[in-house]
Amino acid sequence: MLELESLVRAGTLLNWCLLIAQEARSIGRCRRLGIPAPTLFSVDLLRNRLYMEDIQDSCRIRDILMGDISTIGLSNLMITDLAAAIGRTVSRLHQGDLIHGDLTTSNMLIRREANQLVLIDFGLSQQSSLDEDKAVDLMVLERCIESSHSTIAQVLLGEIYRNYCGHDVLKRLDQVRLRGRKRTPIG
Amino acid sequence: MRFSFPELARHHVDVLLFRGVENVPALRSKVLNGAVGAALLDAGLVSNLFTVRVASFVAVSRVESGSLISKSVHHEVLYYLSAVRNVGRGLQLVGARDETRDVLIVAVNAEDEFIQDLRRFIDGMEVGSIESGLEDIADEARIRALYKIDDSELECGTLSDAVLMRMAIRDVSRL
Repeated sequence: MLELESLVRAGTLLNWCLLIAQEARSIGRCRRLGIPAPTLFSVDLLRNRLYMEDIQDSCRIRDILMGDISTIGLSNLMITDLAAAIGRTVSRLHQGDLIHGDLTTSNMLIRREANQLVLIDFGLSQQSSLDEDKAVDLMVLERCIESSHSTIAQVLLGEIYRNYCGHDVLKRLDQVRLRGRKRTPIG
Repeated sequence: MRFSFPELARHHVDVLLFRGVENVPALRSKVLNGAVGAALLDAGLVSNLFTVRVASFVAVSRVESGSLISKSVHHEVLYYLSAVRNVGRGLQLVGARDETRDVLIVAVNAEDEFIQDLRRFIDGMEVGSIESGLEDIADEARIRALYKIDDSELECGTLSDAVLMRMAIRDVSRL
């Protein structure tokens, strides 16, 4: 289990400043890896606030896949394009030893004009080089897709993993899957 | 131009941009002597006006909450823009030097008369449209060197996004 999570669960983490500091640093690392994330303007440790960019002209991948946005009609090509983008993005993240911590399709936005995938909500994010942590990160995404987008889950996951460069992590994921519900994060 | 912030309505900030300033040393010594309350920035190092807005917001917020790290609100604007931890070094990095010719001036809660005096004193050409003026003057190579910005980060945002990130994260970049 990721260290920060267990501290929060145990209720021993009194200084919430550490959490926003962690979130801020993770966003910094993410951007330095070339992965879009909201631009931060200020970290206010006194009031425990992050001031950041409001990503305009975008929608959540979750909403696109659920067809809540009036799209031309979700073709298979669009679904595989999205999945490929997800796979490449998470791959790049993990290659940079950054764990998102809450990989769901609600935390992935598509910025329309730039046609970019933007990751948001790094509140549970941490640095780790362990295959285990990266596999667990993927497991969260897998569970999300299976429950929220069940009809196209196989297509999505297939394409995501096809674009994920991390053979050892995927092998580890096979083991994590077999373990069942023990490794779910908060939320 | 003058702007203020919704949550900090009793403060206002004036920003002026001058090119080809001939009397920067005299201007600098006025500021250093405390005769003039303003931040003098090397305009070539300012990627756009928004970074100045953010730095001003943070400086003014810190005045309100009594948590200034440097000597004054104007020092704080320079310090925040520098994105380094050492105040003295920060002021040197982004502040106008004697050789600087393009100067951006930030004055917090200045009287109108002060702004007029400043305009009369400065021997240079004032640029009316600050946003486009800064675009023209911005020296990307120097900005990238100052803030240590490499290519990969520019894939996911503009130069000023990268600068904003450096400014924001400086205080938490070490555990």
